[in-house]
Amino acid sequence: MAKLRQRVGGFIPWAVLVILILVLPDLTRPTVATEVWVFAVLALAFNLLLGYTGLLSFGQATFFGTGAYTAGLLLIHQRVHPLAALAAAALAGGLVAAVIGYLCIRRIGLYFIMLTFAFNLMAYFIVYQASSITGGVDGLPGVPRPPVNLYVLTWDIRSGIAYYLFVSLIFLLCAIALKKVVDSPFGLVLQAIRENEARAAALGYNTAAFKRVAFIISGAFSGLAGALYGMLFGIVPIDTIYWVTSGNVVFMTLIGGTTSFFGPIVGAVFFIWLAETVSVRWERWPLIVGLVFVFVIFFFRGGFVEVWHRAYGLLARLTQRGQPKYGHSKD
Amino acid sequence: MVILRTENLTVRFGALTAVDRVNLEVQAGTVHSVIGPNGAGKTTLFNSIAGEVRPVSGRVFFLDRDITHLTVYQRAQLGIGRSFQRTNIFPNLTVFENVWLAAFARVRPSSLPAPVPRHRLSELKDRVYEVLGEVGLADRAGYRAAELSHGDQRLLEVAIALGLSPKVLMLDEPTAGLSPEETRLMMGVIKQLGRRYTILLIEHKIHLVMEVSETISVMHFGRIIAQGPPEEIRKNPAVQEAYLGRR
Repeated sequence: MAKLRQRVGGFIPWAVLVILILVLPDLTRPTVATEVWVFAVLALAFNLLLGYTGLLSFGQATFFGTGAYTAGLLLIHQRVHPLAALAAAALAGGLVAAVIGYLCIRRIGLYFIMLTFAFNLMAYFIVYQASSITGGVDGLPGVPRPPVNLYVLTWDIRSGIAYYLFVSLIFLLCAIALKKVVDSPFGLVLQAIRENEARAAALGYNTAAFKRVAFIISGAFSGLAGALYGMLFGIVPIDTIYWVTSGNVVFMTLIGGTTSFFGPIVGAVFFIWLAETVSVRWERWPLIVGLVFVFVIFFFRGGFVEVWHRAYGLLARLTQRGQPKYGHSKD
Repeated sequence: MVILRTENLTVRFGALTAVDRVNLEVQAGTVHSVIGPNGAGKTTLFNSIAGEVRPVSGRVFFLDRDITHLTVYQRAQLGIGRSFQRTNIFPNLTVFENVWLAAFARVRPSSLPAPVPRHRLSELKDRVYEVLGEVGLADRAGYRAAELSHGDQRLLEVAIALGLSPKVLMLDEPTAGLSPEETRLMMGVIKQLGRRYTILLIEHKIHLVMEVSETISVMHFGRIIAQGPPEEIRKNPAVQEAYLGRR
């Protein structure tokens, strides 16, 4: 019975997610709605590092941008299949993450963070300088959105709403894949490294290797998100690889909550909605983000998701049906 | 058979020689205790055997293999399981997961996220409950480790080391910070484990190890000043001076 309840409980967030995907286009413009799920993929990939492995990567835009430019260039010059573009972007993001991760993971704490940041700046200047290929500061325009040819049927994703559904589908597949990763034994080892790396090493885990693999997985999904972004606007702006994008991912993930798998998604929804709707009316919208951020850090360290958990806990206590309290401390 | 051996092992921290030319031989199937006053270098000796501290000279052999230059995780993979003096667990994971991670490390420590076969998972689960039973924590499997009492966390510390199914179980002051009652419980557990595991035990309370150990090494100022069965150690004048002379 408890197992059944657990299983049903596990489905609730997914059901909410599907409902949100279905109603979001009615609440806002299709472009904004699409952007929400693009950044949700990026935030989930980022949280594999921050929330699960305990690594704060301040250079996630490196992989996001790598994916965006890889897919953009392939689509413009080779007219490849959109799914091939996504695969190439994930591959490129993963490869770049393998190299950068290998170098950064040799250092820990602040030095690790600063290294990821430094590599992000380097990647930005490479793209900035190579303007004959990347378009430099003006971005890479003219990214097409060819139909998704699946042999039996062809899916035209040129219209805003069609592309929205395409991105939503890719997002759901990515979320399921990442959920499988964090729930796997591999994911538990990552959490052990986050909790106590020295102890994990004493058990026989090559913790550096685990962190490198987590970095590669995160880089691959970030690259895939970048490709979706470039196809959304028909252009790859240089912002995709700019450090501010790295910062925004940190923001949205912390606001949403790092301790829950779904937290980053909530953060992405909130952040993009705020950025794209409030900014139209009030250009000082980052002020709101800042205030919310401060509020979250002071009162809800677990992010928005913690608000839900606290409300649920209160409800459980009121109805006396909550989990039994385990504490039996003798000290 | 000698399972673990150090040869002139020396560790220095700056001008301090924490471990001074130590020759230690641990016989397979025995409980071997290293005792000594606080600051004698016991934990440093321990850490240099486990690989966390690099010796300046000397060597460490495990099953006749020179492991002096292996990393911590490589030594763990060979079968050296250890517990820590200061509780060193995964606080936000459950008791079950804490031990499961140890058991899994023994089976497949590869960093690739490949799926684990179902029968393997059920074997692991059985192993975890077996270990939790050995230390008496089976009924706490679902608790978050941070929620346990200090005494239970010390038992979990031992259980994690056991989960590795180690060839040598190294326990670093498992009774540290325990109440007299919890200490009795812990020593009872260690006595039981001594029947099935080779144990290298560190303790600074001399009376605790007399009953459980086959061999006792006494450390003082980084050196081993005496070694032998408990009765001999009890009578040894150098040991009495190191320990009792201070009182």
